[in-house]
Amino acid sequence: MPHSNRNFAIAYVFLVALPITGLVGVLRSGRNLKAPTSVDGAWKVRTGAATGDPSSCPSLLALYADAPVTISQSGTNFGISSGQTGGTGVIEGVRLHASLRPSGGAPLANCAGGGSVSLAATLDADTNPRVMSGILSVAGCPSCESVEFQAVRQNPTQKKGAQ
Amino acid sequence: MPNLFILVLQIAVVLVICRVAGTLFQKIHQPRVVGEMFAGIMLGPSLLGWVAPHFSAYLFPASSLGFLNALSQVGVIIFMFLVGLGINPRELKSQGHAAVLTSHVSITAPFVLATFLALYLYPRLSDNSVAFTSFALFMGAAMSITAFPVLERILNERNMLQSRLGTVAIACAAVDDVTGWCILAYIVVLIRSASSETSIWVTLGGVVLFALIMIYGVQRLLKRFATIFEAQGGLSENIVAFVLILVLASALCTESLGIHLLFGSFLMGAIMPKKQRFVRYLLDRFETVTVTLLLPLFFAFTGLRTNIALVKGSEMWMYCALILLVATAGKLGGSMLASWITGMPAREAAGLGTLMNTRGLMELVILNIGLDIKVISPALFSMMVMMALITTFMTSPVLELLCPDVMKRKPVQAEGSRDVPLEPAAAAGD
Repeated sequence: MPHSNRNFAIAYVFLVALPITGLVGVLRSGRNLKAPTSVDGAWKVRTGAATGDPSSCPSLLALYADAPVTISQSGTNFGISSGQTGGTGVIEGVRLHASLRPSGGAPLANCAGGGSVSLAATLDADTNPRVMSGILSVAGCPSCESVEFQAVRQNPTQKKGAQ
Repeated sequence: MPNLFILVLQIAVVLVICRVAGTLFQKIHQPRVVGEMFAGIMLGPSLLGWVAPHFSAYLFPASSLGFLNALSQVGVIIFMFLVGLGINPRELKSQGHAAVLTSHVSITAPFVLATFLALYLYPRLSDNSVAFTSFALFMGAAMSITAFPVLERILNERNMLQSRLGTVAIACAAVDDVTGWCILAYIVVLIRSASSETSIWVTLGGVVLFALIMIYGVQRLLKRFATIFEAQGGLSENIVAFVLILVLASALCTESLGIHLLFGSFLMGAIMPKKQRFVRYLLDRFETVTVTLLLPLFFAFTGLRTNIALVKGSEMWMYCALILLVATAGKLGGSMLASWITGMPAREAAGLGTLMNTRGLMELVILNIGLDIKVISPALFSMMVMMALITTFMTSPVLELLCPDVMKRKPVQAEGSRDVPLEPAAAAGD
């Protein structure tokens, strides 16, 4: 075997073949990793919120009564939007915490918290479609009553790609 | 029905911003396409949506984005055909051991490093609806891609296409792109088959059969077009339209097979006859509208999906820095090491690594596919877009720093040192 060919073969083994073997190992070990539970997608929310003028602070949660909610997830962080409101949140295990604010702002300015709504929920990760239930409360309004809600994900959970 | 007024207004605004940004970037010795990519980001939530949310909501209402996306996708389909058209297998064969080792290392090094990074990022930036294998393979494919058209443009502008550095870089970039797209096709099949009743083996079998039909059947028909071109010095409008129909049909076939529209158009370009005058003729017919009208829409649509605000907090910025570091170390470092081992002088090897680290538009195309099939999250998409912009932006200045002698050569016009500069999207500076 010519000298140059031998060098090429050695370099190829060390720089190409061995890393590919390593790749197989990485893919195998990665299968045991756990990523945050998926909450991404469209959700249908049902609340027990009383209907009323949503521009008044105590009736603010009426905005979320039976509203469609969209969650855009990036790992443990997610963005959440519902109609004219939007915000961000965090998922820790099966617990979700989020804060929503009106995008326009104006109609809810009379609330001490600027119309900010807190969401705290627990996810039932075993159901398909996925379900979460929790509480919506108006931030900075001690006199406002919290409202329980339940949300069902509209798109069924499907694993993207083989394990 | 689309709101035509809004759609036309969007197109006009996008074109103006892209042309201005492209021209400004050319003044700082950057390819025009880099400026256009930045312009796209500026039009999205990262800048326009942040400083003028009401105007942004008026100009890009959510209901209008479907039409903008459709137009931009047509542009990318034709662009991928032009990229395939620019790839010449003969150039790859003529490079010998050095190019073979360099090109393979320039794929495996970033690919393997990216999968290692995936071990760290998967629990932090993904969710359990995405399998780790898909996530890791996608990260690998996205990091190992090279922007073949941008590279060719930079080399052509610097009169480096015929240099050893230039020829090896072009050969390696072509191998990288073909390999990267094959891997990506596999990932798309893997992901789509998970939600489909069709077995993955049936899909893969269909893809292989389709590729064989294209290579051994359709290619013969295409050779006839080249023969007609040689005999008549041009092609009739009917034949040009027929070529376009074949591109679209090929794209539809790969989409139906469960991969993606873009693979079909890329394959159609790759199997076209590679006679230089014929290639130049087709490029002239297709690239003007594609790169001046449709690709800027793609940049704008990508910008609208990129939200740098999602990268918040020191932790997220650290992920972003890690992605940039791994992408650069794998691509630049891997290519440099392999070419140095095969006898290239150290500075030239570093120059080659820098060229291979150019990701540009090709990266954006891949990332958009990743976001569409939801294998990457919006925050990771934004980080990867930033990585693509930075690695593309840094190419010219770093190359100038590493290889000042080569870069001081007088830039040439399109006629350059070769009969036909195989530079898809050259009009856009891509």
